[in-house]
Amino acid sequence: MKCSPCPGYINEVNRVNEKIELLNVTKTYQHAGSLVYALNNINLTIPQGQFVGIVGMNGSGKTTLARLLNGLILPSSGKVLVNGMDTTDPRYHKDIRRLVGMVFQNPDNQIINPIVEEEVAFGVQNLHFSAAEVSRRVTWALQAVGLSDLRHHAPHLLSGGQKQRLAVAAALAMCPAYLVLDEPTSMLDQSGRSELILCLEELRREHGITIIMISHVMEEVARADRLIVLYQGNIHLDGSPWEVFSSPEFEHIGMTPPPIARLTNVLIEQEHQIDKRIVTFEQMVEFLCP
Amino acid sequence: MQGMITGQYINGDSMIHRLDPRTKLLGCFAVIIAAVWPGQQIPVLLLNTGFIILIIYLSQVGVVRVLRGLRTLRMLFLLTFVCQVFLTPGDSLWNWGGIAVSRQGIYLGITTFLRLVILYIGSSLLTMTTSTLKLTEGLESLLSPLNYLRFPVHQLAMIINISLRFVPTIIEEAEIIIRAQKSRGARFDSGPLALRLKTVLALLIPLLAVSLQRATDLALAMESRCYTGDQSYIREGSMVFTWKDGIALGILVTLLLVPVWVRLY
Amino acid sequence: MPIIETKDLTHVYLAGTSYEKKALDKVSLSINQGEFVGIIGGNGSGKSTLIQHFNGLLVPTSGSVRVDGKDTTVKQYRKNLWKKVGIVFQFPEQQIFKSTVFEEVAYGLKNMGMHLPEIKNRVEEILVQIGLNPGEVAHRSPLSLSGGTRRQVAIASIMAMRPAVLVLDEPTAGLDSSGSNHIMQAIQEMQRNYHITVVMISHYVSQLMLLADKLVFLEQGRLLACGNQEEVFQYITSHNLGGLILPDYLRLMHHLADYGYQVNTGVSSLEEAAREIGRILKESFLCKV
Repeated sequence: MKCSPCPGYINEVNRVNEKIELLNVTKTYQHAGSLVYALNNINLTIPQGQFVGIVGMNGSGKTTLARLLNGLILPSSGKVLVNGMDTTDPRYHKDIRRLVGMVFQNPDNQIINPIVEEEVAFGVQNLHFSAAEVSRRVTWALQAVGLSDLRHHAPHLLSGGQKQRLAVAAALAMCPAYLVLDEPTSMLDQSGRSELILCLEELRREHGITIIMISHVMEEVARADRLIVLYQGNIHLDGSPWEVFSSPEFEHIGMTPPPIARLTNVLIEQEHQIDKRIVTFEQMVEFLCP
Repeated sequence: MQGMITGQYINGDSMIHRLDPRTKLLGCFAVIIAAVWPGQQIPVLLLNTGFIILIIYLSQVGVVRVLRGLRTLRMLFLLTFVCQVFLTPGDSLWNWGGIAVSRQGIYLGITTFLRLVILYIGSSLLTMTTSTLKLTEGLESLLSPLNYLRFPVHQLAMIINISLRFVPTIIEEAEIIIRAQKSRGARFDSGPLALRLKTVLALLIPLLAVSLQRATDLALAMESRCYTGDQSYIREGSMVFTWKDGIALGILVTLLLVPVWVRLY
Repeated sequence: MPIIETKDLTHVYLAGTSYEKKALDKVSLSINQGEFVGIIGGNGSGKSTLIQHFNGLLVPTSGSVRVDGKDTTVKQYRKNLWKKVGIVFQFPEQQIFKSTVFEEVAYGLKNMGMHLPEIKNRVEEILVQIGLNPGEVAHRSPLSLSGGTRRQVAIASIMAMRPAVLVLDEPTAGLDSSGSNHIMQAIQEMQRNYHITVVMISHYVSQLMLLADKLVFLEQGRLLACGNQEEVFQYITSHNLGGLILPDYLRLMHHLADYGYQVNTGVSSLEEAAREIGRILKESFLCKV
């Protein structure tokens, strides 16, 4: 299930090693005269097709990690390889940023064009495709996120959830294999949040795009295939959501599992017969109401 | 606030909408020149005003809508009119203990008012019939000769486009900030002038801070989508200069600049 | 006498133009002194418009708003209302403009005409109450602080005025759990120490559940339910509106009840919900045996 309108792209892409790898990656900053370790010797592999959630307290290195994935930031030491391409090599910058799309936290601060259609076209145009190809991709991307009706609208009239979906469409039109989202829902209200999450889940289901989402809303990452917990620049926990939420280490560093996961944990403690893997509302309902 | 911004683009398919954006930009430029050219007579100014209103009618964006927008500038009109009337020296018509109203003053008051009206409705016509994208395209094309002087025309077009995109957003943010500061007792429209100027800082500094953060974020977002700084806004085949444009420009230039020729000779 | 009372409050934006929008439609509610009132509702429900009537930023198009018995349409009274009703808007850290934390927190106090020695005391007090160390932060530039800390400073600047009514619009939006907790603790303490009235808009209903005496549910500008938590949640679920508003474990209870299980839908905490589910599991386990 590959990205359907981009057959040409698939041939171009480096098909060796379809994964993102972080090898002994450390990132340091100078702050007030001393060296700060934003990330400390991280080793991580994200294969194609996963829905990965990344969580951690503020200052744990989540945003730094996100920006390393598409080469916006380069590691102080170690290597970041996207489908085998090294992010420090300037020859690969364009290919890497094509492969790894990025959506940021503030919906307004990533939209630069006064018309939705033009915004989605922006990235594709930077890749110098023909006008016909640009148009085709824009149509597909808008349809994939459910914004086709708003094609000619001005972005400032959109709701928060719609703006974030627009940002996703703008990244999508470049036919990425990976989509990195840095706290995309933190400035949205309840309905905007669920809009976006549903959209992402569908993208993964229908088009096989790898979703890497940083969030501090546990209910959202509970639906991921894999959950990575960062703590003080290190990977503290890495496993499926239920493994992470039920681990005592999770609460030990000050994090709180989502309500349903907590419910499951409490019920297991009280020695009830319940599936320990239940972490979302849907899973609980399915278990209790067969 | 949404939708209330005067001069906002109104989607349409009139003959004016379909003109090449460069024609409209040049036309607007001619209007501006005609409006500020010194020494014009009232009949000429009235003619120009009527002419622009006719074009507005042809563009189907609504004459009433545009004229209603003039209301927002009523304080400006009143102020300039009063200044011209009371401060222009000349043949005195009335005299109240030192404050004289001259015939020239009244004449100048009326001509200044008409000039301002022409400027306003002329530029509104441009922005209401031309989408921001087309405006940027047209501007970039007109300025492209500057490329030979190593002038960053593409980047200028990008700056204009981004500004147009964010004007409504910034207006909204300003409203929100004003609300918040008022809730802490900031007085924006009463009290001594010095205090009010200081209060304006309570609006400007947060806006500036937000804008700077925005600039950083936008740069990251654009880089993530492979922007390298030299892309052009001009799409091939998007702007076509037809005979209609030629005629439109011809009429416009003749009508608006006739008084200029007349004056010069 | 209620401290805030609205009768048929209606607010229409841009009345008479083609952009007319009715944000509030005949909203009648009363808030008593010392209460903690939670306002819940989806997008476009009018929550933000409603609170702006409480400190006089907006006046009703029709209907009335009385604060402390006095009508807000009286300009004399409305001009000084901001001292009595303090509003913390969403993302309040965006309003920061002073060069030190001290000046920022003192801004409202200065506008109230307070003298410097008293301002100093108040600022120190409120910084401690909000969870910050005055010695460390008071002289620093707010822009050099982290997002969560800036939020605390912004909220402190309103709290410092010790308004009789503290109104907050999504005070924990965008914060992580520790930042959230700090803010909520400060609000609770403020209410306890000074017996103020608190009105809070939040879509984290689970936060409100622990603190709110009364909930107000708005939808499309209309007040659909107002009362204690159980009443309001009952209304929401019986009208199938709750999908996005109720916390997961409460939704679960209602879902189970609909399915046919005998559960108490009035649970007010996760532990209680766990007990209910535990009971169901035991019963079904016993049945299977």
